[in-house]
Formats: sequence, structure tokens, C-alpha cells
Amino acid sequence: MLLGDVGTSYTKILNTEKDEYRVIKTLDLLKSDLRFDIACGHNAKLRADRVANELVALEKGSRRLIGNGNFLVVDVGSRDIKYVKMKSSKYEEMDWNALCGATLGFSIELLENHFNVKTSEIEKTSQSLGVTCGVLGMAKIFDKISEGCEITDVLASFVKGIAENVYKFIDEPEFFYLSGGLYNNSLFIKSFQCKVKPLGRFVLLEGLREIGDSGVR
Amino acid sequence: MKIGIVGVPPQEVLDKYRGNDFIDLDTLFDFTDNSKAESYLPKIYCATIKSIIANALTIKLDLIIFDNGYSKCDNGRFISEILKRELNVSIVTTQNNATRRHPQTVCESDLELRKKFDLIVDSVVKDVDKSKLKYVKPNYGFWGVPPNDFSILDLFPKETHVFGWARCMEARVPADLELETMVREDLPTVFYAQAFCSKNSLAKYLAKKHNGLYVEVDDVLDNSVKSKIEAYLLLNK
Repeated sequence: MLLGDVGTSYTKILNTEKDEYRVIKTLDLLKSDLRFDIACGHNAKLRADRVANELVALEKGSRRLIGNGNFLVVDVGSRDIKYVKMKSSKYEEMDWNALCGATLGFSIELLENHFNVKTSEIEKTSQSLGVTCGVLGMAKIFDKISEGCEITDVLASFVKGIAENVYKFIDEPEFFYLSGGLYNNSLFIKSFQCKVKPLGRFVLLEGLREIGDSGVR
Repeated sequence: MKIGIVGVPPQEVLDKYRGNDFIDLDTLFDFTDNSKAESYLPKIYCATIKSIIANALTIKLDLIIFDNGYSKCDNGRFISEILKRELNVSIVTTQNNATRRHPQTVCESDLELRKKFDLIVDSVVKDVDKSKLKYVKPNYGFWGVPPNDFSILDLFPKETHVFGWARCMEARVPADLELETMVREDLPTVFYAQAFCSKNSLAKYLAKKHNGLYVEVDDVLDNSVKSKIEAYLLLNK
């Protein structure tokens, strides 16, 4: 089976026969003829006959990686934040923010390219740039730089602001699992005021594998 | 006479005009152009309130019966004043304080959810035959007002009971806050509110309290809200 998590910026692909994972830009996917047996994500319906729900894929993938029981998993994507909380293997809570308060991963990547800086290599800060969303936060960044602040300090406080946003969105837990492209951004992870365990970038693909194996939606 | 209705006016007022052609101005008809309301309202505003203004500006009416008190919403009170000043149509304003709850047979019937809402809305201005409706054991609940975009209702199976203000509509007690806030503890329920509507406070509060899903929709349903509801229903199967 060829499985795809077709996000706004990147598409994560799993070939289950070869157990091979890869990531391509979604723009490149859209220029190609590649199609998936099962896919989820913002652009999934353009490239798959069978489309699975992203939150369901997140829950099933997390369960496959963590096991049954209690967990809170948060997927921070390019454009959106979504989370699922399970208690004793039963649904407890979920939410998905794709509009106001979102565009987080996308904003970080845009800023890294603009300033030619890797945010994961920046030291964390206690200062937070109060950001309501990536787009509005960006205006504050350029204001701070024009006031003479160091670019790396401003970017660190921007990432801190984004982490605080996510933390509030998921109801300020003591611990959560992180899924999505920011799983290996140490600055982002250290910017949280709670324990964070990264699950990697392919959690939704694991969910799709589960969906494919079990035949559920 | 062609009479526009807003909200759930008191039965005795509706009875006075029985036999006339009633039109529910809260409805998003095929011809409703909400942008027309922007002459009087901010661009970012409750879509249902926009539809009321747009319909009132489009349809040639002889009279509007506007239930504009706390049995509707604060926005209703303000826009009834705007319509009074701007339209050359008589407007009767009411506050429906009815307390006798009629049976909520449609809300608990085995009809598809969209059909339930069609009948609930219809029941405000005409007699609806409920004798053949069968009770359905619910798997889910839908709490809220009739949405501006009814397509949200198609996401739910027919085993969905209706709660919130829509239930008050069928019960003909639109100011009955106790009924409006009634939910079933054990039933996975989606708490819906129209964006920029003050009922969002109740929706959010009740969703949190009852472990339900709170959704806010502006104008028409977008893909992320649709996916969120689908996931909630699947995860609670």
C-alpha cells in the first residue's frame, strides 16, 4: 500500500511493502502523477481515492506508537494544530484549529528562510512575543527588529509565543506527545512549560496503516 | 398578505394572522444574498442576522412579525430597530414568554437530521403532522440553533437527537433557558453556534461541561469544521 499524509507544505509518504518513509514538498506532489491507496490531510482528496480523517489517523497512529491507555497527542502542522486526548483507550477530548491561531509551522519555515537561520539552533528564551497566530506574530517580529532587537532573540521569543499558544489551546497539560514537522525542533520543544515527548513526523501515516489493515475509515 | 417571521413569535400573535403567506426570514434561501445586509451591518457579523436583513430587503413583504426579545437574541433587538427605520413595512415586535412546553417529537424522531430541522422550522408557522413519526434511540446529540448552512446536518446519522434552542422552537418556548441548556449526560453531543452569535458562550460552556464538541461556523461550513465533526462522531462510535 502507498499511504500519504498530504499536508499544506509537505507530503509524508509510506510504502508499506518496503516499510519506506519519505517526505516531499506538496507542490511537487501536485505536479506529479503520484496517487495513494489511502491518504489524509488538507490536499488528500486530490491524490487518493480513499481519504481518511486526519484526527482519526492521529488517534490511531498514536495508539500504535504509544499503546492503549491515557494519552494526549498534539499534531502541529504547517497550517493547523490538532489534538486528541484519550482516557483508558476511550475518547476524552479533541480539537482542531485551522484558522485563527494557526499557520504556525508555515510561519516558522518562512522566517527561517527569510533570515537564513535555523530556529532549532537558537537558545530558548523566557521572553514571549505574544502571538495570536503566525501571520499576526510576523508583524510583531519586524517591529522588534526595527527597534534594534537581535534577530535570534526575536525569533526565539516568537517560537516561545507559538509554544504558549499551543499550550493554551491544549488546556495547559503537564505532559503531551508531539507529532508533526516540529518534532525535532529543540527550541520549540524547550519553549513549552511542560514535558513534551516527540513522536515523530509520521504518526498520521501509522494511523493510515492501521486504517488500511483494519478496513475502517 | 405576505408576512415575514423572525424567531418564534407567540402563538396568539401568529394565530391572529393565520391563513396568510408566512416566510421565515431567518432562512438562507437559494436567492438570499447576505452581502446585501452589509449596507447596514458590519461585514463580519452573524450570518443568520445577515440573512434576516437580506431577505427583508429582497422579498416584498406586507408585514414582519419579529420576535426580538431574549426569546431570540440581542442582535435581533437591534436589527428589528434598523428594519423599522429603513423599510417601508409594518413591523410587529414581540417577546415570546410562553412556558408550556409542547412535545418535542421531531427532535427525537427517526428522521434524517436535516429533515428534522426542516420540520422544526416549518412548525413555527404551520401545523406539522407528527403522528407518523417514530422515536429513535440516539447515538449522538446536536445542540444549537438552526444553522445558516444546513449542510452541517448531513454529517450526522438519523440516530441524532436535537437539543438547544432548536428544541425550544419545537416546544414553542423560545425563552426557556432550562430547556435550552438541557443535554443528555451520556450522549456524545456537538454544540453548534453561529459565528458572532452570543449563544457561543452557552455552546462553549456546555461542551466543556459535558465533554462534547464545540463548533462555531461562519456563513458556510468549511472543511476543517466538517473533518472535526466527522472525527468526533467516529471516535465516539
